[in-house]
Amino acid sequence: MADESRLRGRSSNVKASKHVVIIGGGPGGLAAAETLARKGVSVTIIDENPDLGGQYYRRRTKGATELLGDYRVDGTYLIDSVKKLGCTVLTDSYVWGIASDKRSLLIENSLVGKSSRVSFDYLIIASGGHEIQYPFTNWQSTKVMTPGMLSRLVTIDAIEPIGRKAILVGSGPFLLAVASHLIDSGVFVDGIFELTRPYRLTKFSILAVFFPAKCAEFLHYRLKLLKNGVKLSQGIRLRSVQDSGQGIIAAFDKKSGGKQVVVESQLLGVGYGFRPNSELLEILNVERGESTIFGHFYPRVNRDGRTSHQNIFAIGEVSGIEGFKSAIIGGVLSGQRILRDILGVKGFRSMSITLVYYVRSVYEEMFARFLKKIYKFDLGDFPDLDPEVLLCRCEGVHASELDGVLSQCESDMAYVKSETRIGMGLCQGRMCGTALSIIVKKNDPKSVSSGFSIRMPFRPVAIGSVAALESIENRDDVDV
Amino acid sequence: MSFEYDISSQEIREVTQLVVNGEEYDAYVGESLLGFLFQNRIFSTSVNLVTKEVRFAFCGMGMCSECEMIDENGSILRICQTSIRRNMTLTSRGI
Repeated sequence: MADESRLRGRSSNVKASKHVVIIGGGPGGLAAAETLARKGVSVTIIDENPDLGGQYYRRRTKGATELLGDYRVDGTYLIDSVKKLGCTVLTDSYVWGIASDKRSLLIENSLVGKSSRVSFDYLIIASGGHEIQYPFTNWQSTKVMTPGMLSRLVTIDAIEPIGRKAILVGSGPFLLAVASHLIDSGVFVDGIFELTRPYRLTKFSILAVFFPAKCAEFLHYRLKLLKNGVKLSQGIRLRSVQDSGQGIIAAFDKKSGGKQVVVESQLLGVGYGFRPNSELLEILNVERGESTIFGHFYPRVNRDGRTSHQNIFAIGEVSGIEGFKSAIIGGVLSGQRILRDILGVKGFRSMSITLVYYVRSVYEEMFARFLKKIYKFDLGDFPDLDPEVLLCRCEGVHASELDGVLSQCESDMAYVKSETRIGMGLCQGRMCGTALSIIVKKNDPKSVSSGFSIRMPFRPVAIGSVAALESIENRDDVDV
Repeated sequence: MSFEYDISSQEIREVTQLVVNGEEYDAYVGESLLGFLFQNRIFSTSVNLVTKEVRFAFCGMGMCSECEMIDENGSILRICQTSIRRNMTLTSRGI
């Protein structure tokens, strides 16, 4: 935290009394911070990770950098620039709640286990997302992980991959990117198993016409897979995984029927796309945007990322799963919007840049919509769980324990939670919530499931630090 | 980990002793703990309190809490968010 005190000492060149707090130091948060800090606005970035960068721009350690060079150099520039501009950076800090006046965040530094408050005039929520999971037999095996973690192991942590094999299961274009990372680092990819059926010529001719650049990117991945003999299967669902000493044996079945497919490998990466880390937005009770079949919460935002609360912005994955480019564009636009608010239209002279970003933002949004269409799930894609499948990893609740509860629950997830303990563990329902939502919806297709209700603290924090903060509730000198 | 010294960088990285569940290892200070455990095939970061199964990091981004281990001071660390410190002693949570 030496960096932080050094940075905080710097004064800004423009006297702007407004304080902007950004949650999340990924591409979106960094772009917003840079836009604002360049004009001298006082900015605080809060991030859970030990360093800025989020998942996309995660920093390599010193050893890995020496061995393999810098990773995603554009991220390094962005992070350096934000630090040089004198933004206050609070890393290793979880935002776990918001004070009742809705003007200050409650955060905990996970290194010292102490909570404090950070007050804001404007809040930009760029908290990103995490991968969607759907359980299968033995998914708690130590050789099963998310594709994001596999990708991180080879790109960031630079593990030696010699002799390692992996398969990728789930849905979405991210699996192709991860496969590419694995191949680059020498891991043999035994196959990609896609739940939906997106890879068809008819669908991709549309891609070629409207999004030629994106199509080229896809072809690059596709050729790489072909060259390395990676089999791409579609419309196939994972049912179980067995430990086989050195590796795993994964069993699949085809959605269209037919016999089981069995694949042997060493590691398995599984993820069905991403969902937003939207807890704070739900607590703030901002207006809801489009609803999804999984019941994930997306806020209604305008092009600048502004939510129904005038001083609260949501950008990046938390406002819609659109990738890092969209997050950067959202960061710039939300930053410029706040600048226009603070400095007035006259003081703000980069309207033409704003327009360019508007157009890019529309393009990225259209592409994201197209992807959503071609990787479209329906509830039937997800198989009914066998009774012995572990549904809640943290609390050790098996699917069989839902018997009798589902028929009683009237599609109320809180009822299922209180009867079975599903979602009461340390991950706070992040790993099993989507699955339970699908199961509840399958049980009663008319139901409107909205996931687990969110309560503070929405990150696992030390109870002592929360209590300590309570006792100084009315003091105003605790602000960071 | 088999990182080699780069003489041109004029910096020799510090080796430290790391104890994981009683086993001693040599490790570099400042390197990723998750990468270290994976490389050394230590696939047990926690033991689930209900099912008693051994678990390993799952999400790699600080969400799932499966990678929590306890250090020499008794504080709970999420391995995927931690880098190696000098003379660290780690025990799986739930053992």
